[in-house]
Amino acid sequence: MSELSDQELLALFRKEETRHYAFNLMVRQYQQRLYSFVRRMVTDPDETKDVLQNVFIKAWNGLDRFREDAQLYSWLYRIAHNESISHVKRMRRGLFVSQDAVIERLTTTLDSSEHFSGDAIQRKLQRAVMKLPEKQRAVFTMKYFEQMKYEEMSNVTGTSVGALKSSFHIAVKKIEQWVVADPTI
Amino acid sequence: MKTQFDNDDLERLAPNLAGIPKQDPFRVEEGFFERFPHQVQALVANEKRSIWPSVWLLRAAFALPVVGLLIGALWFFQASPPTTDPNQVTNTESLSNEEMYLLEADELLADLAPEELPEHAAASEAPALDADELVAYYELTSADITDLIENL
Repeated sequence: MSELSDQELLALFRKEETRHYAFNLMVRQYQQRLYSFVRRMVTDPDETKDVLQNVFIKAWNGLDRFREDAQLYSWLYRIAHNESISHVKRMRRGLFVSQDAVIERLTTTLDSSEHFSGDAIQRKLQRAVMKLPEKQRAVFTMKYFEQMKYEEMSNVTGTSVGALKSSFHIAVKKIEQWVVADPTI
Repeated sequence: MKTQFDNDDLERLAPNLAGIPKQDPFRVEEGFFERFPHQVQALVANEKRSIWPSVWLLRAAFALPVVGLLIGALWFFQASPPTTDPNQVTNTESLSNEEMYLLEADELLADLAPEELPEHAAASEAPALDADELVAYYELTSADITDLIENL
């Protein structure tokens, strides 16, 4: 199925008779990319699905107010970013325990072959990524895995390019240390 | 356009990380992306149907406490209890008639302004007595005026 441009999708969405059709197309067009990002933030597949559903529900409710001053994908990505971070924060409050317990919960999925197909080194890398604070994890994921440009990341996070570069630089150094120090291999 | 943090920088700063292949290692349930759009559509349809009652409920949830506070404040300020003199004796069952008379007098006096009190009025309105009148007064009341004479 060929992808529609942002303008085409929005034009269809703004007509009452084609609104649901346009929304369906939008979900199909962007779900995999957003799923990948959310999954790297929360790891658990069921929680990823919940977060992603919330993302698209918010998109449905907010699309009428979308000003088209940015790309539709950036706007969706911003919602996914905020929802993922909120989810991880809620997880910490719900557990009412230390960051280590949250990391333990996030990395449990990595030990299950049902949910994780990577080898030992991939598991090591993901475990290190899970140790990052959630905002820094998002920055690292967007830059390292998604290979987004800093300007686009700035639109998503609402943070300056300079701050993002610093955050990514620090995240890289941390992960390098943890990958080397991880005794699981 | 060359980015600040390109592959050369990554290899220099984090050689172990640079050596890890970039791949997506997370398994996705088969057929997930076929089913997901329909699931979201169903949620959105339910969201649309229920949005109006929840909007009014939300407004009521904010408005009712505010209205309740306003009513409570109005009631509180309008129904303020009268102030009472903490020194007043409230239990009068054990008082004699003379004590009751004095109590009633005290209660009457408590309502008067300072300038209306009898002693103040007496002091301000009492006519000055000359010496003969004073002697006659003390003789009448049989008062001991020894101290009075000594202090003149």
